[in-house]
Amino acid sequence: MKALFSLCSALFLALYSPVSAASDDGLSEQIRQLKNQALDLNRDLTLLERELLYATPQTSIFVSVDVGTPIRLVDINLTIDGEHVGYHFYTDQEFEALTKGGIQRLYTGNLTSGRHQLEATITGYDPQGKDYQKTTSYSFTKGAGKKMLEMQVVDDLNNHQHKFEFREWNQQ
Amino acid sequence: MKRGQLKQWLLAACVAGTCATAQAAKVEFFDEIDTGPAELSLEQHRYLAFGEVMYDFYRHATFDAINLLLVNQQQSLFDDDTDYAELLLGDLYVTYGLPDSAETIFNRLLKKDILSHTRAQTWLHKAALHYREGNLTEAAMILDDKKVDGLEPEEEARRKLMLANILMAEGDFSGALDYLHGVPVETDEGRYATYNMGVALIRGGHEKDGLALLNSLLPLSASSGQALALRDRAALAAGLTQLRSGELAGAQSSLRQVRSDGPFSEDALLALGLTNYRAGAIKRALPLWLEAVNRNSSHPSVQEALMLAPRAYEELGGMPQALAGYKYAATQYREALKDIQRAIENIGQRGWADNLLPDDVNETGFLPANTDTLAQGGQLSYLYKLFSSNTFAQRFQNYRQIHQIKSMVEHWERSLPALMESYQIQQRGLGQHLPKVRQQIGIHQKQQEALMLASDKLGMNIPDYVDMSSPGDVANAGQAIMWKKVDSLSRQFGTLPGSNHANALRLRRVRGLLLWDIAHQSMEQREKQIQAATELEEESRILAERVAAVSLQIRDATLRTRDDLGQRLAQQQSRIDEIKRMSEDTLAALEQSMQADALALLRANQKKLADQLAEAHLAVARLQDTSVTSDTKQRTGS
Repeated sequence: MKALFSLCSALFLALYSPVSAASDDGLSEQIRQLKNQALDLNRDLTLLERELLYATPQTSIFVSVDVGTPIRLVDINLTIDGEHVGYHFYTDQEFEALTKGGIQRLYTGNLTSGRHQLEATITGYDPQGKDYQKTTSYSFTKGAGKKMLEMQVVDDLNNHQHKFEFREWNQQ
Repeated sequence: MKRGQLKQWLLAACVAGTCATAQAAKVEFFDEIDTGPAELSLEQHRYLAFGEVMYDFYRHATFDAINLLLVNQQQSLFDDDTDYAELLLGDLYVTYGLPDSAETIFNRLLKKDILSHTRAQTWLHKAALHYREGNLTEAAMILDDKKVDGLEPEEEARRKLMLANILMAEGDFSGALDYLHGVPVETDEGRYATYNMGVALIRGGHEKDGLALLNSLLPLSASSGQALALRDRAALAAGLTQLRSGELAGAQSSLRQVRSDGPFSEDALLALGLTNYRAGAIKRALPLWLEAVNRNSSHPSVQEALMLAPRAYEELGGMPQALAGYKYAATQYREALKDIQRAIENIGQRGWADNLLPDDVNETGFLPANTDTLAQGGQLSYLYKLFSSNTFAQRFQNYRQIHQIKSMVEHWERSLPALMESYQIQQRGLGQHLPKVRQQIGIHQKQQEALMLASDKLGMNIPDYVDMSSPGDVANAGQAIMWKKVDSLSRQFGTLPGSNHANALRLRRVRGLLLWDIAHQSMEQREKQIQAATELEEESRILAERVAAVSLQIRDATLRTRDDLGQRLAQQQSRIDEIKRMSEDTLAALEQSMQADALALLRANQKKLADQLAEAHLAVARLQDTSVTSDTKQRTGS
């Protein structure tokens, strides 16, 4: 029987693994150096890429939702002047990021100056699980500078659905 | 790792500061009133940029979040004034395993004249960094100081939790308990701290207090898999403690609360069997061990149960069942040994560590692996044990991050030639078209200016009243043609054939009716004219914007033809090569150390299984000998 109860103690010991700092092996410094270099390289290449692709002022479209919204956004389909320019399906984690105040850049591109028509179709479901789809359109004029558009998906508390609010900025 | 409530504050700090202007601005539902575009202020730009960072942060894309912060720093969007961005970068550096960079940021922030709340936040981060690095004394000194006064309730709970853990590690259980009481037990952190504290108290000889803490976790509702597993673990720990102390009824009560399909169910079945066995109820112990025997034989508790079940049969006098049980145990041990051998061979193969990586780079979880493949290879249960080791988990985390870096570098390696080609195409295209476009824009600009002047003049010249002295001005197209004809006939009347009195009267009637008709719709026509003039002015304004946009593009394009972007792009190749080489070397070294850990674990299991197999064989031999002796005695009539 002693063997049986030593087994019981072993089981108990296995249950408790206290929090401790990871051991610092010889690789640590190499890893840190590599991470730093990778971050620097990625930053520089991102900037160079932007400089190359968006030499002229670009248009960016952002999406945000009401903080803590009970309504689940499933996906967004975006067209500009009838041409499909963006689609995003939201995972639970991504939607949670939006509900905590994150803002997603859904589109960045070079649009010609002048008038444009944006159309966004979103699908979602309310806290009761009821599906719905809603489409909205918005007209804007692209001038000489950068154009930033924020599409806020806000709760329509009366209908337990979403509605859209747009904010628009120009940057010279 | 669950993100602390710090993020809520960071968001609030940024959003409150940066959105104030935006929120104050009247935002109307688009299809009701169009407020039109506004000039992007620095604060609004920061609001959008930081929102993007927060999106990456909350979806656990640490690398992307750091990159965005660094890019925005480089573009001077985030600078000395944006403490919230600095603090977040420090926090992200901690998560990403760059404690030195994080500490530099925290120290820099603490030297600045910042808000007291931000200062307390920064100290909390610094303490968390020390805690994570194992510098518990330094962490405790900060956490127990006035420096961290004024934290939000969630942050205060985090402070107390760290202090409780530090005191627990130092063996000061009463001090730890004091701090622990300030941590809400409903949170994940609170549950884990309560569990750790309960077990630490038991290990420190304070069994009663420890059990009370573990039992306090059992009635809590749990929805996530993680919380349910912790509740099972607490029930199992409480049950085992009571079993060891001989409190069999209490042990049984606790062990029954472990879910039968949870990750600790095999351990609970084994322990529940032991409880009955110790109480002398071998008949009750047997079905529990038999149930355990039917579970996955690579689980250590199942492997133990494989020997205990036949032993129970033996004690109950069921020798044939006991013999069959031992033989079955031997078979299972042999199978488990084969599994281990396969796992050892698999671990030795190239790319083993890559198979552990999740498909989604941002996925978080205990064992982020392709579990189906690993389960087929018989490695899964051993790997669970391996991942519960902090050292291995840390190595694997580094492996994942370096792998991500390698993927990123490979992406840039593929993209760089395309970027350089795009640059060449741009240069060629600009060289070809720019002179012509430059020449034409001047002409278009003059045309646009002339058009704007004309539309302005037209708009100003339209009176806001109706004057019938010039009916053609307020007639519509049809009326204007008619009026022109009638007016011409009136003027030329007398010179035309048929210019008699009757026709003169007829012409006068027609003229009068037409004038009446024009006058009747003149107001509507004037409004249309005013509207058309306004639209023309608007079109003219947009044309002016377009001309300005094209002029700006010409300026940018001219600068592009003279810049050194191509050269700067080409320079990145050597950096990419260097980082790729370094990441490959690091991955190889990490894989080697992970393989060594895994092999050591598997070999230890192999040895244990070999001992169990030998024990099973001995038991079979012993029972067969007993049977033969018994038969011989029966035959000889002794």
